[in-house]
Amino acid sequence: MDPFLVLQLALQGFLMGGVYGLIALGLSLIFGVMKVINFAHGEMMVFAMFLSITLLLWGGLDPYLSLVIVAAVMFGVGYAVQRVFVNRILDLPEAMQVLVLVGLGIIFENGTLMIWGGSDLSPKTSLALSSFRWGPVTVDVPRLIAFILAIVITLLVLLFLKKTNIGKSIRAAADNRYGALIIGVHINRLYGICFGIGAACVGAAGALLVPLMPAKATMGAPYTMISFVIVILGGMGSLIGALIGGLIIGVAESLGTVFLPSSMKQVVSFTIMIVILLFKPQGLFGGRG
Amino acid sequence: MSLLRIDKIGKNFGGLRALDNVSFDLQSGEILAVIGPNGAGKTTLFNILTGFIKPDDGSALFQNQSLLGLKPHRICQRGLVRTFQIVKPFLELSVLENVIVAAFNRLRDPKEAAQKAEEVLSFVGLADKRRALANELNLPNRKRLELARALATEPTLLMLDEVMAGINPTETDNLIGLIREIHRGGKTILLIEHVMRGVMALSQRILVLNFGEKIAEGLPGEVIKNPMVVEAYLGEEYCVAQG
Amino acid sequence: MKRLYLILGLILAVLLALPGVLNNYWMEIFILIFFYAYLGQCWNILTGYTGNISLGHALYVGIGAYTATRLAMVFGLSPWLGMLVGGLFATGVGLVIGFLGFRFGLRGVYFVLITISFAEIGRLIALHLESLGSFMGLFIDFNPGFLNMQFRGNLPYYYISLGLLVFSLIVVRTLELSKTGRYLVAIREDEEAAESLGVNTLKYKMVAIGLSAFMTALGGTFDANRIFHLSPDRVMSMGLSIEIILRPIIGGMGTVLGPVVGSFLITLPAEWTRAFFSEMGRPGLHMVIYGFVLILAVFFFPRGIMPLLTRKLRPFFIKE
Repeated sequence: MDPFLVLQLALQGFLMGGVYGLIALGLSLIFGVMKVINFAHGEMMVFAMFLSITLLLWGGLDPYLSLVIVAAVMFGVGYAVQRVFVNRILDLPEAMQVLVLVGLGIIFENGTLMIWGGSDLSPKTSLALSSFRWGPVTVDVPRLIAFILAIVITLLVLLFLKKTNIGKSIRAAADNRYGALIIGVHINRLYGICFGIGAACVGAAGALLVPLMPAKATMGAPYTMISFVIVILGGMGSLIGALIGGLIIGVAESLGTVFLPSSMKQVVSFTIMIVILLFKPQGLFGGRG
Repeated sequence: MSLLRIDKIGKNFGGLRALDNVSFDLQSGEILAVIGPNGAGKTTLFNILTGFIKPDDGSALFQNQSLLGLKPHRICQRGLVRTFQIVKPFLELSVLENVIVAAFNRLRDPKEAAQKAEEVLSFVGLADKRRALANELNLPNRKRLELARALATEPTLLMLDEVMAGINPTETDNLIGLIREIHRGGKTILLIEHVMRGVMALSQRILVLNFGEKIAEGLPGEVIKNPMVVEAYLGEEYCVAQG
Repeated sequence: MKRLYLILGLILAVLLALPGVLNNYWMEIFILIFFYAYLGQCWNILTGYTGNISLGHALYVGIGAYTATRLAMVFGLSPWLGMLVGGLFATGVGLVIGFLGFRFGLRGVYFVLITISFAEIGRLIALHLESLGSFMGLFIDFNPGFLNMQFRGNLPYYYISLGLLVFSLIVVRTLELSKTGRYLVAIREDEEAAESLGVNTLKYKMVAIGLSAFMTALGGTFDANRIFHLSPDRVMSMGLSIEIILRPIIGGMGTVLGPVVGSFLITLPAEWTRAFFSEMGRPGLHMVIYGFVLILAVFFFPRGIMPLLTRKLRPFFIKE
């Protein structure tokens, strides 16, 4: 086995892991605060990808720039989805919640299908094919940029949650819903904002992925799954955990392709999830088990 | 031979010594009350005896066999059953169905279990509510349901965890009467209780826990006069004031 | 109660006689209704009655389908026997999943994720094994005959699927009245309380998942021999897992008739919307509508339809 190949794969996985971490961050936030598993997570990301592509094709806007617009739009979408649909199910039995979120996933996926059709879209972006050598490995520029931006955005979100009043209210509500209600927090608005931020995260991630892969309306499900795995690995409700977990899974998946055919690489992620669920269900950074 | 023999039970929760060196015997047919201020370790003791948590030290023998390491359902099958401080009815099931579940502890046949359940419900006075859903009951009735379920398992030792909390004096008296009848039927009873009226009316012996340690044990009359007990409940200043 | 059994008996009689007036298309619809009701009922045994949600039940369908089919292809074993082997295999897998989940105390969302993980791993394996046909799947030669579980026309499949459904109803009803069934429901309502009243919660949850897996796998074999084709996308996908849980959830979990009612209510409109909107040439539209209908169904019937039906019809059927 070629050590340089392994290194290359690890690097690529690591860079991709940054984006994974951003996606998982959104899920972790939603789950940590509302205790709801967003089964529509990956599908929302794909929707955002197509939005970004549209802005590129119509407005010539490079995804790295339209990123901000897409994130903002997705924030609005997420907020609306939460207020209209998700809010109603927060007190329902779990199975019902699952059904509604799954329904939302179906709507996003097929909505994307309806609007943009079923074929792959991979428009040319300015940096799509550029790369450079760094010692023994080759670095894809779009991948590197995606990684850097993903990390920056993740840190921004973390800062937001730690320092701003809204952020603190969100964390308070996550800890204790009734307590937050009692002290007068507008819980519905808060939940909406929270879901909105989660959606904005996948929105940004979607834009970052546009230069890296063809967009297909049905590609969302694996991303939903991967974000589950990462959130479990990192610890439900731990935002740093989502970031670190993303990096770990990115590398693990990539290295998995050494042993397994590329389309089976998810087996690695799922196996990791099973092992974590069995031996350390609170994940690497999770507090309460 | 004691029915229940507890020897030097200890339990830590992190840095907190929840129970320390607790020992006592319970004879068959007795009613023993365990009292003590909040946080004294009473429910922890119950949880250990019923297999929900493991102690760090000590032993517990029921009918001369060790209880430790057994799962809660095995302990119930052996004849030791408890009620919960915050009642846990099967909410979406009817009152009768709730008790039938418990009756299956000793019976296999659904018809026999149903019959046993009906008998127990009559005994506790819930017969007319048999078809009501558990979530429709008020608190005193939920407490009766909890008691009925425990009885339907045909226990030898019945452990009641603050069964009189949160109900008014009339209901308390009803419950006291019910527990007396259960005792007359031959059951041994271990009570955790805060409501002193119940403790004095029912117990033959009292055990007092404070900060996880046994500070007194004996006849009711003696125990309540024990200065350490008074101090535990009311504070040192009260003792001093009493002179 | 007797009145209820009478009405149900009547409905059954009607369903038995129905093929006389149905054309092929409609028979197909009814087969789908019965089949999904059956799968939903199998799932109900685990989730409706113990409260542990499985979102990976397609795994058992696939095991049933692939096992019986491979045994028939390699050893010429009749699918009727292969079905049982598949069922046992599925039971084994289910027990492993159950053991891992229950022994380690996984509840709620954690348990869901473990069922998803195993199902996806299963699907990915099937997708790549040459012996299972990889992504193309397996094609079954058309050799009609009772022993092959293959028939011309829809009629025999109609009766087999109806038979499976009735079988599952009997199983669940018997379970409901038995000690086991009552223990399962107690576990669902309050596991700790159940444990303290003498219920071996681990054992009974394992019984539930084992039985559920076994019965689900039987359905997988049936489906394979009706469609003559099985692929990971058809019989082991997340999409199928979702279809399986829809009908019991909307109809009413933890009830005998819930999955049946749910299936009748969902399958027909689902087929119609699909046919209607596909005609219009807009791919995905019917699924978007499907998604909305699902969400609305949950909003209007947060406990499923059966509780509502039971309340309305109870005075009619039960004399207090």
